[in-house]
Amino acid sequence: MNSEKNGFDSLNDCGRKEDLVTYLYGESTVMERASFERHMGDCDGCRNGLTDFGRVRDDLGAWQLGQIARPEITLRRSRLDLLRELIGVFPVWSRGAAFIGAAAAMLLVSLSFAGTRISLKDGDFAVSFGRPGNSAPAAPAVSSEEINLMVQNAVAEERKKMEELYSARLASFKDRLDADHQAKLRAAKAEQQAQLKATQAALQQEMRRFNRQNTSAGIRAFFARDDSSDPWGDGR
Amino acid sequence: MEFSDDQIIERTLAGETDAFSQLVRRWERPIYGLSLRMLGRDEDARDVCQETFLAAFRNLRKFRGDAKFSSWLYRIALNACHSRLRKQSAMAEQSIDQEDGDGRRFEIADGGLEGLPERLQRDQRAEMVRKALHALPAEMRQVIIMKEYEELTFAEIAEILQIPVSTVKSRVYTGLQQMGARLQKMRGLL
Repeated sequence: MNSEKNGFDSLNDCGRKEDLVTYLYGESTVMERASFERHMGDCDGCRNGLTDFGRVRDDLGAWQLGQIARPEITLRRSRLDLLRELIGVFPVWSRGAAFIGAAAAMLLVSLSFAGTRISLKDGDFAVSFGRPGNSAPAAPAVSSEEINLMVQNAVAEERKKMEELYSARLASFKDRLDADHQAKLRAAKAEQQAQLKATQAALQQEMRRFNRQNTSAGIRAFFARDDSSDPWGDGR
Repeated sequence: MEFSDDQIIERTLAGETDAFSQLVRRWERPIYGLSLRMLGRDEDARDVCQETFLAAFRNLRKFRGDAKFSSWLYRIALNACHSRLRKQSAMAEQSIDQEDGDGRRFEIADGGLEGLPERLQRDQRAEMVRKALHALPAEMRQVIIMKEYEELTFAEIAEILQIPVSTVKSRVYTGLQQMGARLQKMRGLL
């Protein structure tokens, strides 16, 4: 039989600590329970330990939470989460294509920053790295007066070009207008001549009809006249 | 209709994000209770509770379902508690008595005026328990809290902490032993 020990500092050292807590919290199987109860008959340490631990558990039960207000849980989603959710909507193949596209764009941007030049000329593909060297001579320094003059010349040149352009456009417009006008005049003249011809033809026809009628009436009147008393027709 | 945790997770992952609020309602009180007893301060417990559910929501796809959802949630909450405890210990150390002097920073059962003397006695006992529990190393405190207040089995605690069941039992034993010794000492001082 084990000797009885007082206090929590030295409960028992029989090697059945785990069995004790299993029994204490009622998680032992029937066989384990029976075994441990037999053991406690001989082990004062375990028997006292069970009592002391029971008291501690009773104390622990004194700290119960009251009617606590429900903690408010707000599930804030970060922009990254929203982006992930949005990406998740798309099928895998489209996500893969987008990823490859983005990677290619990144590569191009990186290459451009690195000063890489890619050229394809006459069927030859060439890649060169690094920024162009400083072999080109540096531009000479230019004074502000010279710059002003250059600007003024450029403006004057530009103005001259514009004036020439407008003059050419104006001339072209005038030509187009004249041609149009001439065409209309010709058309009007032709129409007038046609109308005149038609009127002349109608008048000639009318004259011929009138002449025919007058000639017939004269002949009839000549033959119908009795001129025996005046054979000369002059009253003599 | 009552959905299981796994069913709610499936619905949430299928895009029904509002379904997750059912899990929050179901588990917020246990998680809050665990955090409060681990940290001793209501505001810290609320923060940990918030962090836990946010982390769970964000990492729901990583939850493989090998363990129970509640075990996973408890693990997240305990990690958050330990992280907060580490920060607290790194800051200027405050004695537990000084903390109490700043005001009542823990929750105990409340009631009306009825049975006031008994309640005062119970509150005094609860405060002693809180102090004794806080004096325990965190690894022991967490197993005592999970066993005593969350009523988890040894196997469940072992799963949450990812340690052998025998280690859990050993920690519970040592924790109760130290608690008992401290409470006995406190009673002797009264």
